[in-house]
Amino acid sequence: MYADFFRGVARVAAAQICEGLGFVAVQGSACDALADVLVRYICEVGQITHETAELAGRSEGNVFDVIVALEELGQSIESLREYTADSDEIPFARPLPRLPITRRMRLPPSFAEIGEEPSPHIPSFLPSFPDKHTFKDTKVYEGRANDPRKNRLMVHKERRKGELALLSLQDRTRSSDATANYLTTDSRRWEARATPSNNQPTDDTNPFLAAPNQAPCNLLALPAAEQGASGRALALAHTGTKSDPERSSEIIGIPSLLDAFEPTLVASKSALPGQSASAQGTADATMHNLEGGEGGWQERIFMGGETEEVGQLKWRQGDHQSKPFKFSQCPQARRIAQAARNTAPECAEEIAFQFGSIGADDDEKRDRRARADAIMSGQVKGIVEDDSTT
Amino acid sequence: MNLAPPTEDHTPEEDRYDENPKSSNVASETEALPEGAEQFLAMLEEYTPTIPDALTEYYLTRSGCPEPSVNLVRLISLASQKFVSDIAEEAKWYSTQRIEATARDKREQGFDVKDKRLVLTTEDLASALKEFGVNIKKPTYFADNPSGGPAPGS
Repeated sequence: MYADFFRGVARVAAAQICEGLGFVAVQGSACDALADVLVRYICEVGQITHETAELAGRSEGNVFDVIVALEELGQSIESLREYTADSDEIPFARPLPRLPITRRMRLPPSFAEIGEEPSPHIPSFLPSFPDKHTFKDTKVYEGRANDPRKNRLMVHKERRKGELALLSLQDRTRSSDATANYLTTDSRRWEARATPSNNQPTDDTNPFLAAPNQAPCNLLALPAAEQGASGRALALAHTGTKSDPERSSEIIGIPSLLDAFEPTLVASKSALPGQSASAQGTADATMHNLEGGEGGWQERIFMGGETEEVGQLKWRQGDHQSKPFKFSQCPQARRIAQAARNTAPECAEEIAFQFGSIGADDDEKRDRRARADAIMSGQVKGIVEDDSTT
Repeated sequence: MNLAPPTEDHTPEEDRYDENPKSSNVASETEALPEGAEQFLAMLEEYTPTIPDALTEYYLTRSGCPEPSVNLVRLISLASQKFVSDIAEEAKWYSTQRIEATARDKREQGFDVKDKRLVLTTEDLASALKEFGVNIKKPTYFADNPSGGPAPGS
């Protein structure tokens, strides 16, 4: 059984002996031959030892028998002693276990050791029966990670649930007037929360004194004259507090997305100190600058919802930090402009001011828009498809 | 050897032989064990031969000496190691001869350019083993023989 193993061991030993003598390399067949010689020599010594012992009437060889055998094969104790004195000690390269390796058999515990009470016909010192699951059919519960497709679906479902929760929250908090609708009509993603516009545009009321639902969108409507990020933030703040009818007439509810996004984008372009470059951070910063009012919390919700869009806009531009953001280049720009025109046709001047001529030819591009929506929905597959099922 | 006639007494064989220790072949060696040998054998317990004990034990068990003591095992390992190293030294002598002759012989320069390394080749080993009485000559192989293999009669 171990013949091959020990043959290999003998090869290594022979090679080591040669190496000790100064050989740099050994031919393979020469090494095999030497190993064979070595093995034969050991066997020969053992055989002669045994024969000598038998000759003396013993069955086991002792040292004298070995010495006799060695003398027969041409060696003496003296020569061996000289050999040990002259040459260096070269231990074997690897540690070898004592073969054959014996392992203690692990007996199954008896009934008494376990403490199990066997049937009356079985004595308790006998080994116990194997566990029931080894021979009985037990129910197998399906693990978690079985079907990758199912897992993906589940992930999408969970995500959709989370989004729906967020949307419903936003539904409850934000206003449902035209301007809010315009932000949602073109993106199917916001379909769920598209609410009919049944509110009056807040022409004359202070947004902070208005009903809670109407406050957020008004805050987004900023006059375009304000410059600077911090100025934007202040403008956001001031809009709420001012009850200037002139100003509020401008703030009909057309959110100036460009202005709304601009603080974010300016911050991302030039790393303003104290403001994080992320859209979220900037939106929050603008939020912090808002002064009081019950609308403050709601705006945060709304802006928080929008920030995602902002982020997406920003990221679709690619390296947003190197290029200045151009609203007209944004893929949603046209849709946003068109939606603005659709939902608030009476504010055409404002729209023209804000968006220029983006998407002015909406009639002929309406179907193109629909097609683009279809493509977009195809990209947002996981979310949209599940939306349709709800 | 004292050949005791078969008797009725059923004493075990060993006892009969033990009565006459001089009858065994090993008797001469019992007294003639050299003085240094005992020390040497005792020293063997610390000495580690190149040939591992497991190897020697295995082959000794196969050839008739099961479970030998450590002394015996080490002794036989050492003896085998010396034997092999003697052979290798002979082969080394042959190969050094070959290396020194390289400068002269053109034919050898063909296959052993300027390699001064000691390599144990089968040819050197064969020459060395011949002196020990072991023949490992490779059978001759004729390439132009259609059947190949050794020539008839070799």
